[in-house]
Formats: sequence, structure tokens, C-alpha cells
Amino acid sequence: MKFRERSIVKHFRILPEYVKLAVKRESEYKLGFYTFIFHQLVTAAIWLLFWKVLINKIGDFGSWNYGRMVLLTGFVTINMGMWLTFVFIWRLPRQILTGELNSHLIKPVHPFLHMILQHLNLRSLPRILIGVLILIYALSHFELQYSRWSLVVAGVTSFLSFLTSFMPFATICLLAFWIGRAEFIRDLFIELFVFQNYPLTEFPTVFIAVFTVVIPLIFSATVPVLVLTKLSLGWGMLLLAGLIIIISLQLWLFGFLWNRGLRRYESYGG
Amino acid sequence: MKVMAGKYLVIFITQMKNLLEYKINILLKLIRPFVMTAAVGSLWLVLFKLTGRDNIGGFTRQSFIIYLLTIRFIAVFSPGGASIAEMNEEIRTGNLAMRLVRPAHYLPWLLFRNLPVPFISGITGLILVSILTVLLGADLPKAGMMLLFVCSVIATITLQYAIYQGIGILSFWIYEVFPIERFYKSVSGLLSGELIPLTIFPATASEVLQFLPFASLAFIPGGIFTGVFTFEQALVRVIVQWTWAAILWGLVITTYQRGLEKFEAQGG
Repeated sequence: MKFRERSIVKHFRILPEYVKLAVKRESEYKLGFYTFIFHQLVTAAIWLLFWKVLINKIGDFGSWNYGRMVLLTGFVTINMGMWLTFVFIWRLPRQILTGELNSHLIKPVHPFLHMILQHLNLRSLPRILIGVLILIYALSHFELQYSRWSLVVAGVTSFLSFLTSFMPFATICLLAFWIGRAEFIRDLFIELFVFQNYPLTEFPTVFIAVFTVVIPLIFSATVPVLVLTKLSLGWGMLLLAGLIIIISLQLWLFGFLWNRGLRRYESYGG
Repeated sequence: MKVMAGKYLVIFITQMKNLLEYKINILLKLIRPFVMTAAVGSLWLVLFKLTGRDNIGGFTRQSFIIYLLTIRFIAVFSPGGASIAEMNEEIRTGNLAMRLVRPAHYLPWLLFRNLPVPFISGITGLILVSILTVLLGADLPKAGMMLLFVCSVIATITLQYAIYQGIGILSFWIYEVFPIERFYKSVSGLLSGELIPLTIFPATASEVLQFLPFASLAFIPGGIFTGVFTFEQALVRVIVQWTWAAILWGLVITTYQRGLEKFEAQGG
């Protein structure tokens, strides 16, 4: 069965049920929930401190002053928060390898969506909130020039950009259909995510090209900051259009490999 | 005593054989620290270029790369992460009871079981770092410093493992210990010199941080290997490392005994 053959409404209808389930799950382990939030706060604080120490010691990072670095950290925090909401994708290679994917294939909804929605991680939502608070702090505390429209375009870019890191990651996980143990490639790939935290425009051109086209991590935080504080609205819209094209291609590639992978899948495990 | 040592050695050898069945895994585990170093190192190379400086916080471009690689491979040496997961699972499910009736102490059993991966990747990694150091035209530490470096690396692994065991032991009281592990990793990333060498912090903060246990996890061994310290400074820091290791192991053993008193073997 293909996704387009099914009712999209049906997928939206099951979402509240899974949210309720996730809330119940989280309320079972309150200490874990609060420790996780505390950890997220500390992670954001560490990056802010990192840039503070570095910029105090050696000055601005090219055209990036501390105010922009705070914005960058805010956008990365939002991005990672959204990513972590669907963190169950991490287990996709194992689901394929052990045959656990079966339990999703027998449901009358898209198995991939079912898998990630069933295991929504609500602990990540405070992280998104922390990111938003960092953005508010940066915009009110530092003298950054921005317009209302640039804020909207940067916000939409930031919201969509999580897919630019999520989809390649999901696609890499699909390799388990062919090579079995794809965890090691997945673990290597995740190391590259650290680049989201950096102002990529200051990197050599080859890095910019790779992180724009191949693994488009530049949209996670660097582009939203530029759209908000530096680029004109026209450029912002153009970058947003580029982002949408890239996401469409990524979704197509994922769908193609997912369908091919399912044909190979024997639900036997290994 | 001899029988005891032999028993743990058998566990180590068995696990090593299992590991060697999956050679590609070892290869990928070896590549990972290089990828991580490339990711962090690229930021610093850009910084060197942007600022036009030859030296940041006592590090040249070359020594910076060697520093990053060294601390990565030392981190790989630590068998901690896997042991937390295993300990958490066994305490939660009550399976620890099965381990306790066996004629081997649980903590060393867990250590030797998880040792092969860090052993192979750590040793290979440090050889690769040494070769790379020579290829980059930097000097390897002199014999005395090399000896201190080895002592420092062993202290780092001992300390790191004590911390991980300590987090795992918390499973006797807390259902989920992974957020604590992640919290520890985030904090130690900054305070150990993994993200940013401690010499880049303001002078007073740098001095204080160098004597906290976090510095022992990355900055001290990395600093000794790259020549940040004089012999006397390095010696003092290695003594500090071993002191922290002794304190933390004391805490781990005491907490473990307390945990066993609480353990009911029913899972939870």
C-alpha cells in the first residue's frame, strides 16, 4: 500500500491519540523527564558559554559577533528539539534488522509514520521552548537589526530545516534493508551534526557547498540567523524556496528507497 | 588471586573473540574519532585563519589537531557507556541477582566484558596519533613525558570508568540514568577541555578547572602529549588525576555496597 492511497486525514486523526500516549508515558517517569529538561538547559548554556569564552579571547568569529552566536544557538536548540521529538528514527536499523518493523506494517496507516508517531518523544518540547527563549533574549538584549517579515521567514526556515537533517538521517537508516547493520554508518553520520552549531558561512567554500546541497545543515541555524539579521527579505524568500526544493528531493529519495527496501524486507530478522 | 585474575582474563579473551567476528565494526569505530576530530578541528582551523594568529591558548594549528585527536582516542579507550546500559538493564530487570551468584565480582566482570572494544580502538588509535604527530612534523614527548602521558591516560580511563560505573550504580535508586549520563557528558565536554582547551578560559577559571576531575578526562593527558606543561607541572597534574581516581573509586565501591543492600532482585 502506498501513502498516497491512504487518507491523510486518518494520519492526523491518530496523532492526538499518540500524543496522549506519550504524555502518559512521560508522566510515569517524572524524574527522568525533569533530568532530561535540565540536561537540555545545560547543553544550551554550555554552547552559549563556549562562544562567550571564545569570542572574549579572540574576538568576533569573522562577521559573527556574540549576539549572532546567541541567535545561532537558539535556532540550533529549536532544530534539535524538533529532531528529538522523532528520535525513535534512531532505532529504525534495529527494527529492520530484527523484523520488529512487522508490527508497523500490519497497521492500516503508513508504517513509517506509525513508527515515529507511536514513539513521540515529548521530552524534547521544552528544548524547543528553551530555543525560543534564547531567541527572544538575543533579539531583545543585543542590538540586532531585523524586521517583522524577516522574523517570519527565519521562523519558517527554522521550522522546516529540521527535515533537512532528519530526512538524510532517516535515509541512512534505511540502508539496513540492504547492509543489515547500518548503525555504524548512522553513528558516523550523526557526528556531522555538530556543524549545525557553527557559523558555516565562515568556512571554506567546499564546506558551504557540502552543507548546503549534500547534507543541508546550513539551513538549521546559519541561514535563519542570516535571514533574520543580514540578508534582504528577497534573499530570505529565495533561500526558503531553495530549502523547500531540497526537502522535496529528500522526501522523494526517502520514499523511493523505503519502497525499494520494503520489497527486499523479509521480516525474518537477522 | 591468580585464579581470580585468570577468570577475568578469560572473560576478556572471550569478548575479544566475539568482537573479532565483526571486523568491519572495529574499522568503523576507528574511523569515528577521526570524523569527530575533523568536525571539531575544522572550526579551530577556520578560527586560526580568521584571526591570523599562530597560537591560540598555547596551541599552534598543528598541536591543536594533535591535541584533539589524542583526547578523542583517549575517550574511545573508556569502556563506560556500554557498561551503564548493561548495569541499568540488569538492575531494573532484577537479572543482577544471576550475576551475583556467580564466582566473579560484578564490577570487574563488567569492566573486562566491555574492555575489548576500547582496548583495540584505543591502542590502534594512539599508534595512529603518534604516526600522525610525526607526519605533521611535531615532536613526540620525550621519554619522561611519555611515561607521564601513559600514567595520565591510565588515570583518565580509571577515572572515566569510575564516573560511568557511578552513574550506572544510581540505577539502584533511579529508574532512568541516561539523562544523568547525557548531562555529565555535556558538562564534561566543556569543563574537560574537549570542546575548548582550558587555557582559553580566563586565567583564574583555567587554573581552577585544571584541578577539577573533569580536566583529568581530556585536557591533562592531551596537554602532556602536546607539550603544554613542563615536566613538574605534568607530574603534579598526574598526581591530582590519581587522587581523584582514588576518591571516586572509593565512592563507587561504597555506593555499590549500599545499592546491593537495597537490591531486591525483583526488577522494577
